[in-house]
Amino acid sequence: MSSSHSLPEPLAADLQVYVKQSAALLGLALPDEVFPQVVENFERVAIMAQPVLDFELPDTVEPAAIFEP
Amino acid sequence: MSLPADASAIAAAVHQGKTTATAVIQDALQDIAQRDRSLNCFTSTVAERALKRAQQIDQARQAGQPLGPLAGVPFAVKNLFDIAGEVTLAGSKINRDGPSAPQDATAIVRLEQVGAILVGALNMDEYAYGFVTVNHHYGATPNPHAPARIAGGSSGGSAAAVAANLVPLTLGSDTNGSIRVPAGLCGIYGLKPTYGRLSRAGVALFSASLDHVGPLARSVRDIAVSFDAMQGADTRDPVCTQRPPAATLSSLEGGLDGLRIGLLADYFEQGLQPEAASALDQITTALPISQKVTLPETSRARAAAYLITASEGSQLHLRRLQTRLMEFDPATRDRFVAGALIPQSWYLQAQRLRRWFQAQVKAVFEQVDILIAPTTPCIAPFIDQETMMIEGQSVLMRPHLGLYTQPLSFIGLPVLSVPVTQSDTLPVGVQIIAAPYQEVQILRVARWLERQNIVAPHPYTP
Repeated sequence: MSSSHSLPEPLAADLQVYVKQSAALLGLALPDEVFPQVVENFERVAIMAQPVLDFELPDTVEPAAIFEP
Repeated sequence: MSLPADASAIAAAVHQGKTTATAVIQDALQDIAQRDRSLNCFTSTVAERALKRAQQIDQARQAGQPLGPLAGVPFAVKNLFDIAGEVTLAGSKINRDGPSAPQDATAIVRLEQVGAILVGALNMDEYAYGFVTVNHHYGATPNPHAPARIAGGSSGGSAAAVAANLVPLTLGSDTNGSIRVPAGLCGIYGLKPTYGRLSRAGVALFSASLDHVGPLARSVRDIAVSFDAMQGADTRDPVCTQRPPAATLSSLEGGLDGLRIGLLADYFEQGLQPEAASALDQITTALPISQKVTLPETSRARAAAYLITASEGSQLHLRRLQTRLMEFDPATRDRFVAGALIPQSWYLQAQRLRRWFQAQVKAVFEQVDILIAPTTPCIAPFIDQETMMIEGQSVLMRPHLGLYTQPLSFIGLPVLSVPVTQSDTLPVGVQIIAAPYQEVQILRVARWLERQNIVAPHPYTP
């Protein structure tokens, strides 16, 4: 199960910086008591994202989002 | 008074004059007032409106006017459906400050057009982000069959209210399993139709490209009647299909003739706990399974569904996260914030994987018509349970409940979770899956299983 995996150590440390800076960019003020759980949750997302990102797709595969004018 | 077995039986009694809609609604409201104190399914009731509607139906019958197939049937909706004049909570505290809804959600309008009567709104996980219905603001909705355990979610109030016989029919929404998971854990039927099949107009969204609405009920017939009533194009929902409605009720007794049935293997066998495995066995023993089917890259598909959900859900709530962060339910808050930080490239890759996965599964449906899979890996966990052991590993319980539902809603397939008849165990469901827009095939299989007494609502003893 993916939740038992972890990111490589340098990347895990960088996540704190990423969360802090990208949250600031989005206008999200994260109190100290919330910050660690957000990092933990984002790490979980990052782990889950790896196999999705690793999967090679042909250029012809379009995103599935729906918009019909 | 306890209500007749299902919605269709109530409607039949009203049609035949054995009871009146007013009597049915009065009893239902009284029952809710008494028993919901411990069941905690309802967050509000709309007594005045319901009694008025009931009176209209009784007057129509007296005047000899035709009544709809759900005449006098009380129903309730997850509290993310708009109810005219009420504030749509979507399980949150923040939304209490918003305006009241100007009109009913389309799904409510269509059920009332065939005689059903809305009696109230039901508890859910905040903004539908959860599989448990343990809500910081409105409390947990316990499993009616085992109050120390969860009802499942996020449509937990919708499932528990039907399981405990408070109402025979409810509506829920399903993004990654939020109808099927609680239906399975509460021992009732829950239909997640094809993506876009039923209008979501007037329903608070969670993740627009994955959100569906659907009915939960105590019989296959009730699922069919309510599904048929809610079908049809709707300009208020940009993804609602333009296809003409395809009625299912008249084909319910079609049996299994001509249906090729496969069992989903590999990914869908991993982590299955004994109670869920034996429920699946019962179904696969009864049905003529012609082959085992493997869907490619299912694990990646599930992860992609998660990325889309988290990205879209977090973006939808971004303004509230910026301004009212500490008023969110702590159980959703940190996940919403984390989701807001997902790089767009991850999101788009997930949406492209979705297109790829859809094509792979489409090819599978050239070989089979129906697929079978478990709904959840286990029976309902305890309310305060955080982890569970799966094949020797400790995993987070809450997200794990969507293991088998998430890859299927990812590509919008229609799925019905059916309650499998098992004695001496808590309820657990099995998913019956078909190709897009083939709900009728699913309902035929479910009706066939129901006739053999292999599926039935889990008996409720208060």
